[in-house]
Amino acid sequence: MRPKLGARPSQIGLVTFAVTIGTVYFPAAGITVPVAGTAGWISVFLAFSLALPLVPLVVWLSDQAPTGDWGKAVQAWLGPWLGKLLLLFFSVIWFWLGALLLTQAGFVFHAIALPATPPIAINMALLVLVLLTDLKGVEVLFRTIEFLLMAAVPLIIGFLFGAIPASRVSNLLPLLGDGPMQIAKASYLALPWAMEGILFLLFASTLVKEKKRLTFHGLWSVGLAGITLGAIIAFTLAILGKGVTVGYIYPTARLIQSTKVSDFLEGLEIFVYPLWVLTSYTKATVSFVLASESIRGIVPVVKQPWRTLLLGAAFFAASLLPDNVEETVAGLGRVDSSLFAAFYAILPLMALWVFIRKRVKKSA
Amino acid sequence: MRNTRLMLLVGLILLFTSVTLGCWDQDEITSLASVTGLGIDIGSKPGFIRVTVQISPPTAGSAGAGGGASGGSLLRVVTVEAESLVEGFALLQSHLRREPFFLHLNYVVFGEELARSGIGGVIGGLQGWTQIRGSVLVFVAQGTAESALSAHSGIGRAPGQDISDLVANISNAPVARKVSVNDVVNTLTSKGSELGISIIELTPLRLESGDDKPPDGTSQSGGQFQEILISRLALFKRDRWVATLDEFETQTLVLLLGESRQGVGTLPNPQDPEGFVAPVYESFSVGYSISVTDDGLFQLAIKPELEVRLLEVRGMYDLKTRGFEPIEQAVESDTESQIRLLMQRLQQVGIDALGVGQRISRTKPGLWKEVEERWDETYPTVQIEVQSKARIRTTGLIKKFFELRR
Repeated sequence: MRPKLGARPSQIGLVTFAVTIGTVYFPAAGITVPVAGTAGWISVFLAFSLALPLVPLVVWLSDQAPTGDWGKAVQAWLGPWLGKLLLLFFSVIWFWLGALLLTQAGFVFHAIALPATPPIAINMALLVLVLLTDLKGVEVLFRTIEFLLMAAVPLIIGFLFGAIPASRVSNLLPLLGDGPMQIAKASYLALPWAMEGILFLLFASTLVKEKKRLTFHGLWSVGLAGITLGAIIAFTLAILGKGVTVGYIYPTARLIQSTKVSDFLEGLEIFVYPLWVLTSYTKATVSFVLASESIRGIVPVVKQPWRTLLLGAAFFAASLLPDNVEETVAGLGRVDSSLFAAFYAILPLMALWVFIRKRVKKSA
Repeated sequence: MRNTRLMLLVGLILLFTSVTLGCWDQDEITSLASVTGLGIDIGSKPGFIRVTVQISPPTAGSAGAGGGASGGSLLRVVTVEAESLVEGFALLQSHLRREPFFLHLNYVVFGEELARSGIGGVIGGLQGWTQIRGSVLVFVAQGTAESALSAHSGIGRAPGQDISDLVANISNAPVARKVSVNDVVNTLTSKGSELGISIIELTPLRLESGDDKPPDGTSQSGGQFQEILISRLALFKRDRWVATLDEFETQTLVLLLGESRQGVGTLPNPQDPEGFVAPVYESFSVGYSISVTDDGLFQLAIKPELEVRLLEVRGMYDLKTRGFEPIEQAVESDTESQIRLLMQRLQQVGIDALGVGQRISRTKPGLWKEVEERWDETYPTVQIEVQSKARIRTTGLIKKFFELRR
């Protein structure tokens, strides 16, 4: 069978990096700092360090299945019924995450940049791009993210470097924030962010033939995403201070306004507004495509474009459910800390199951 | 090939959407009233506030005319009364005929009466207003904020220009603090430090023959010119202004807070008590260490290090025979006494403007948890140790100081 994706491991790594950061950089400080205090950034490092051992595990899993079809790979690991059950679970969580991310994209852009534009208009515009990408397939998804990453990386670097002069290191003290127990609690909240990247890597790994060095590229991509998120939280704290940071759902929005680049540029909106659009598209589209591909694995009879259109309609309807940004963030928190966090148990169990089946087959 | 084209198309659409405003948010610059200064005072009715804004409406024909040459003032000051900032900003539109736009806001001034009764309420409004940046500077006015925003020295082209000029220059000397909205929020939402906000003061300006009209001949026509200065500091107990530091205490505090690394001093000439030496501190850095004494009291050691340029010496001082050491000792002793006096004053009024509590919380978080709730009682008992170190780096190429021969 011809692999569906002609990407090299380094390209998979790049896209995994983009997916792992996703839109998390916006609320990350607002989630971790109220729990761990000034050690919010350490809690993210800790969470991503704990998640890293799962990277070789998912690459190993992908090696135990036929290449080129996500649905068939899952069924090869778990058998047809259990495999379909997992695909259903997978499609539900990515569908729900994606719908909430679509809602979030509209609400946030409405709040920070386009106050007169209804969030639904922004959501619809973004949804058109999401559907278009899914219709064109996984290859287009990967190449588009890769292309957008080239635009996003200078924006992230510009954002971080622009923030340096306004930083006060004393705002990061005490280093251990509100204590080790609180750091552990904040790390638990950050664990799903790494898992989103790892699950995407699992999906992508099943589509490529060349698995050599995939572990290495997976490790650096998830690790670097953790470092970048930690750095963004640290800068947020160092510039805004703890008191301001805990007062916002999206402290990064306040951060970009409070940062001054020398005397000629007040605020870093110019870097961050385009970044928000790019990352919202990336994460919402990846969620949609993963849900769509999982559904294809369960009911292959639903062909394109009907699968995309039907799923798109449901996606849009689901994105209308939260009434405001607070509900959206609460919803994202619930999806993350329950459904995505569950994969910290599911993945090792799945690997164990595959390993045992393989041993049994061999001995038979 | 088709995929590449599609990928480029999607990428381009995304990039364009990020920089293109939708029709809903279409705003022409001429439809906005750019607010450069915001003043908040107590209102005339109970529970009301007076919101004063300085706006700089773009005027047709002013571009390229050097501003003001067209006969229109570049800044206008408008005041409304309302129960909240949101209501005040809405009411402003009936005066401005344009939507107030706050992204170019330079500073916020609180009137004295409001500052003495508590700024906590209005800070919440400032924090919530998306267009008001957290980096916007905060001042208090002696008198009303409205008068501070309306005052005109005749030097700047229009009201507000003087405050903007002062704000731009205060980082060059330790005469004032740059406290932002974010700083106020951080200070008021935690314990262990108190606000010290620079005061904008006005004094009638003595008119010189060349100053009898503003240069553009329009603004404040016939009005009294005011000298606008920032030199003293309002000390807050939580959100209320309760004490004031004079200009010398202010300079010491600004240096101790590390907000300026340069300063000046005037101290007795070690060789000639009738004269004095006036060193310029080219570098002023401070180290702090906190310990607990045997009887359970906190001890704060303040260790300033100064690098001095010695330019002005009055009276006799023979550099060749005495060298720098006596002056260095005099600088150290003067610095220590200034710091002790300041700390004594702060502890007397019970205001932790240096953020001693915050320093404890950062370096000894466990200890801070024990004293946080009773910090107000603990702070005046903190023992202060000062040990300074001065080094004269240069005399500005002078080999022999001026000496009058009689």
